Amino acid sequence: MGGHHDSERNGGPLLKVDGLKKHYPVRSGLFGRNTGQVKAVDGVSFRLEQGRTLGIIGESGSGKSTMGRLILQLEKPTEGGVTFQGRELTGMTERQLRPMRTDMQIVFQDPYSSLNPRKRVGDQLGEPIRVHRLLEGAAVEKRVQELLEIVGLSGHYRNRFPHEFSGGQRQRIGIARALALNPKLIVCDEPVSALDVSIQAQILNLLKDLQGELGLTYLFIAHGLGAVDYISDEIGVMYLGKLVEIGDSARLFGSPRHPYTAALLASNPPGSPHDRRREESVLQGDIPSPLHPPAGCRFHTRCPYAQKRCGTEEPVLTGEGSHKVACHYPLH
Amino acid sequence: MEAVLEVRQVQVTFKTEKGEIAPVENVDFQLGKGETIAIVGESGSGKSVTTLSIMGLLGKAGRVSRGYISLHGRELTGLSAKELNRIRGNDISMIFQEPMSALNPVLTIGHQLSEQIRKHRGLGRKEARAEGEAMLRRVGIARAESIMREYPFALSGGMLQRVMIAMAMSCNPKVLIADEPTTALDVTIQAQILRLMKELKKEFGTSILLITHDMNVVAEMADRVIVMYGGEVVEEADVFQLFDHHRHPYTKGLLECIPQIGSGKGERLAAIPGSVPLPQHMPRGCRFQDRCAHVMDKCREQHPPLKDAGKGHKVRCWLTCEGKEGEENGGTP
Repeated sequence: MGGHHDSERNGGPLLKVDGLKKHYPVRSGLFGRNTGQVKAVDGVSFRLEQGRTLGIIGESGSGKSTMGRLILQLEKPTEGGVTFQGRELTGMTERQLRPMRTDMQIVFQDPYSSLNPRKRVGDQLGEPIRVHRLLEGAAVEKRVQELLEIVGLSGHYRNRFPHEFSGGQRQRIGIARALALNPKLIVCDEPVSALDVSIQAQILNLLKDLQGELGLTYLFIAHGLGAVDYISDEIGVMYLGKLVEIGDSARLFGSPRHPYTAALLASNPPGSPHDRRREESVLQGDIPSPLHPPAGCRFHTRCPYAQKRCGTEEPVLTGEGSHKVACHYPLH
Repeated sequence: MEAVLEVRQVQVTFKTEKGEIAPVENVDFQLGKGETIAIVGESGSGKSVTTLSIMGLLGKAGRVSRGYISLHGRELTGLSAKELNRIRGNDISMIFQEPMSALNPVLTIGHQLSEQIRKHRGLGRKEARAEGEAMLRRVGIARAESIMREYPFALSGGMLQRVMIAMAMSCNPKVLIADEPTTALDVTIQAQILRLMKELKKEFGTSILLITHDMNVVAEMADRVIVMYGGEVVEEADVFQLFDHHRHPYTKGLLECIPQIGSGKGERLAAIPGSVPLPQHMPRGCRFQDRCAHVMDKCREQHPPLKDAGKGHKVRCWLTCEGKEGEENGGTP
C-alpha cells in the first residue's frame, strides 16, 4: 500500500501526452474496403502535474472520451506518446503494462453498467486487490470495508448486490473500486452526468476530498461546465479531435480566447432568471462529422469570426505560459 | 390568466405486489395560456408521474385515485382511451428526454411525421407530407426534404429532438409537455432547443409544462416554478420570486448544489445529504425531514400543508411559512 507516497519520479509531470492520435478506419461496401478514416483524436498534447485536476470539455464527438481511453492504454494510439511517471506507455506489452495499470484507474459515467449485477459489491472491490496481489486473506476484507467507508458508505454494504443501491451510491462504489489499488491517476469520464443534481454535488465533494487526502491526480472529462469549473485547476477544450484551448480554469472561463470556448460558455444556461440570454448568441448547427472534418480550422464552419485564412490554414496551439489557444484570430 | 390546464388535488396510485403505493399526492396547479411552468425535483419526486397522469399514460397498474385534471374545463380523468387519443396530439403533445426511443426505428422521419398529421388533422397523404416538411423547416432543419427520407438512427440527438418538436407542434397543441427535453444534449444543442421552444411558444401561444432537474434551465425558461418532493408540491412561485426569495429548505438546496461557473471554487458544494425516500417508506410529518438542516420536532410529527405566502407564492414548510392554509397572507415570517 501507500503507492502515492513513493517518489520514483523527481519533478516532471505525472502525465505527459504528446501528439496523441487515434484514427479509426472506415470500411464500407461489399468487400469492406477502407474508404476513409475517422480522426477521433488528432494530435493532442498536454502535461498534468501530480495532485492536480485537468478538466476536458467539448461536445459529443469531440474525442474527449477516446482520449481518456488512449491515456489508460485501453486502446492503442495510432500515433503519439503517453508518458506516465516518466515511463513511455505506448509500445509496452500487456505484461509490461500490468504493473502500471494499478496506478491508473477510471470512473465511468454509468455505474449501473460498469458493475457486475451478479456479484456482491465486496467481491467486486476485493477482486482487483487479489488479482494484483496487493493483499491476501483477511487483509483484503479489511481493505474492502475501509474502501467503502472512504467513499461514505457503511462497511456492511459489502454483502449487498449493485441493484440494492441508488445511482449515487453506485457511483460511490465505482469510485471505491477505482481507489482499490491506490492509483495515482484517475480518469473520470462523465462521472456525474447521469446523476441528480443534489447527488452530483455529493460526488463532486467526495472527489475533491479524496484528492486532498490521497494526493490524487484527475483527468475529469465532462460536458457540465459548472462541474468542470468547480473541480478543475486547468481546463482543456476539445473540438473534433483537437485541443483548441487549454489553460488555468479561472482564466479560461473568465476570459476565453477561442471563439468555441466563448460559444460553449454562452450556451450554458444562466444561474438566475435575471441573467437570461438577451441577444441570441447561440452557436448554430451540429458538430461536423469527424469523418470529413472541415479543412483549415475545424471550427471555421460554425465560427462567427471566421476569415478566409481560417478555411485553408490550420491554426496551431500556441501561447505564452500555460494559457494556449489554437486560433488565427483569438478573442484577445 | 385564462387557465388552460388544471391539475387539482391529484393523487396517483399504483398497484404493486406489496399493495398500493402513491408516488404522487397533493399536486395542485393550473397552467395559463402561453405560460411556461417548470416542475423541478430529483428522481423520485413524482414529476414524471404527474405528467403521465395528465397524458393518461399511467398504464394498467396506475390511476388518478383522487382529484381531477381538466383541459379548458373538460375533465380528462375518466375519459375513454379513444377520447384521450383525440386529445393527445391534438390538444396536448409531449416530448421526451430520449427522442430516439420515442420514434420508430424502421420507419422514415417523413412517414412518421406525415402519418401523425394525417391522423390528427385529416389531411391527405400529399398535403400531410408537405405540411410535415414545412414543419421541419419551421423547427430549423434546413435540409427538410432529405431529412424526411432519413431513418432515426441517421440523425444526431439534437436533430431528433427537433423532429420530435416538429411532430409535437404539427397539430398546434394548446399544451406542450416537455419531459427533460435537453438533459441528454450538449450545452450548445441545449441552447438551440430551448431557444426554439421559446420561439414556438411566442408564435403559437402554446402553454408549456417543462419537467427538469436543472435549475439553470428553469432560470432560462420558466414563468412559474413548481418544486416537487416526495410526490407532493413543496413550493410554488413566480420564477423571480423563487430564485430571489425561496422559502423551502429543499428549494434552497436545489439552487445551491449546482456549481456555477466562477463562483466559490475553494468551497465545498452545498450538497443535499441522503436521497428521496421511496413512496412506501414516506415518513410521517414533513417528507423532507431526514435531509433538512432545520428540522424541528413539529416536522417529525405533523405533515405541513401547502400555505399561501402571498402573491401566488406557496410553501409547504413549518419553519418558513406561517401563512394560513389556502388564504392570502402578505406578512413575512
